[in-house]
Amino acid sequence: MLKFNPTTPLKLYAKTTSYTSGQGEATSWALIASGAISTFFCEWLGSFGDRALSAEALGVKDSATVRTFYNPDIYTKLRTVQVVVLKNADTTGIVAGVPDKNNPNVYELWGGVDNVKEENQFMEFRVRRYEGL
Amino acid sequence: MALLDDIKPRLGVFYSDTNKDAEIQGMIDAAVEYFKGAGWNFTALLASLADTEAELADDQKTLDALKEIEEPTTEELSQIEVLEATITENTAALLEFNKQLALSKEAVVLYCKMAQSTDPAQLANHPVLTAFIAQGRAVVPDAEV
Repeated sequence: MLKFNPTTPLKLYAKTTSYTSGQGEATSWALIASGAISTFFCEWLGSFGDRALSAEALGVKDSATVRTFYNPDIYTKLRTVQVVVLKNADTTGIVAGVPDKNNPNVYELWGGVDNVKEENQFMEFRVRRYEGL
Repeated sequence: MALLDDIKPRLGVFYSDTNKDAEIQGMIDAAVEYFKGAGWNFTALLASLADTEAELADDQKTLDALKEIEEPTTEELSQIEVLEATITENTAALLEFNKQLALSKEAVVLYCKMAQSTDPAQLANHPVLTAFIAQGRAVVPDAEV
């Protein structure tokens, strides 16, 4: 049983693309919601020390580990499309429908997501600062 | 159903899925039985809660339908008045039930959290659970006196 204290609210946005003939690809970011709920609580663990240093070697200045409850809606999105994570449910993180790369609360998934022990109870993933790539 | 909606978010389940709901409902039923076996029976209170909730939902539905009538008759107007009074009464009753069930809900949450663990070694009588039972019991068994 994973012991954690989910105190940090998150909002998640998933990238969706659609193709219109003659106009090309259109990208939009949609809030991930599970029924009526769109704010999810997690345990946010920042990086420091050797972990931060090895991330820096890969060009990642800011990263964190997120532990939260399993939710099929989020899990599917994290596994299939690009997702940005807004720490502290920061509503200013999305500007004109696009994630703001200058906002320090905007992160993106980094290195996959783990459905802990495949129990469908908890999820664990790491995030890095969104740099608009 | 009412208890399920209260317990689910406490277990971190913020989505609706038939199988998951059935699994949690099973755990809740087991928890209620477990507490009953330990001398803390709140099934009657739960039944009254469910009844009141069902009645409230029914009344609300009838009221909504009545309010949609553009030119209600005097009979319908008096019906609306009666319904509104009943709804206020039942809402107050519901609050009271929820207050009385506060500790029981907490105990069910704790039981469910324990039952969710896949490590059998962790399925021991938790001291807080035992304390809840001691507090909730109506009659203190002779052995403890």
